[in-house]
Amino acid sequence: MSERRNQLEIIYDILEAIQNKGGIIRPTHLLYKSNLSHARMKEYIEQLTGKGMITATERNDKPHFAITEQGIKFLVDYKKVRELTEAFGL
Amino acid sequence: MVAIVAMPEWYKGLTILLEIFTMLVAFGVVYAGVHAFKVTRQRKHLYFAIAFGLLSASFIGRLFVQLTLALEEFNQRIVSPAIATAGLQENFFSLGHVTYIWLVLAAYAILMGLAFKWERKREVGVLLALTTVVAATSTTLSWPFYMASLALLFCIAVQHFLNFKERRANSAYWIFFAFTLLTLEPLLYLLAFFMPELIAAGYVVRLIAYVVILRTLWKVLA
Repeated sequence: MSERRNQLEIIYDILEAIQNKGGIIRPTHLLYKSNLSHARMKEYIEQLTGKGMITATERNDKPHFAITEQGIKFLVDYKKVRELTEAFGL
Repeated sequence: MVAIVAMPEWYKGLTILLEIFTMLVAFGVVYAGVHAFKVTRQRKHLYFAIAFGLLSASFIGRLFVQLTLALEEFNQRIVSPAIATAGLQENFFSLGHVTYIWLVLAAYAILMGLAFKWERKREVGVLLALTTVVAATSTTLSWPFYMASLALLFCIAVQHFLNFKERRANSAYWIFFAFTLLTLEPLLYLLAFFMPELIAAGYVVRLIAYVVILRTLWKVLA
């Protein structure tokens, strides 16, 4: 159960890092912000891209990741779930 | 039986409204729990939704019993006093009462498992078995149910207090407050054996507890 929670927290941190940068972030910044190894971040990026929460894009000919509507929805939903979990001590 | 018999006449309509209100609030918590499960896929959120689902079902059961009894009483007094169906009324009340007790205690047992973060299902299983025993003994006696509720709710409230101490969150405080009030409810019903007026106080305490839960839920989900 804690494995799953950790994974969700990491996904939340990645998405929040992108949103805090205005919805688009460079991979190097994301690596720094998410505090993950390159290999682990690659796994998460693939997962999030597969779920349609982020998309790979380019800005000024440099690769970037952008958060999608689905990613923003997950952030909002997860924040509420975290508050519910906190309130009821789950 | 005490809850129905000892309350004043004017109070019966209000208790039906209270059942509807608490049922709707419990439904709101079920919705939040199911939504949380959909997002996280964590079983604790599913069990949380199930616990409040059982509470909602218990309130529905009690609502039906109260409505049926009210109708029965109306029939006996006004429509046809000659057709006395006291036996039927008693049986219906007993069945509804035992179902209500089992649902409530099962819900509290699950909530206790969640509050104590029990990983193994065995502990909750033992508690559920105990609740069945209490429900079976409560066909004629109400105090085992109130005692069991008091014990379970007290443990849950203590865990909510520890949760509040750890997280220092406003919402955690209000949920602790609500469960403290819910702990008082069976205590008041037990004391009502000696002072029947306390039945009304028990209902008021439950109403306030569910208003607090509704308010907290609103703040969390808004």
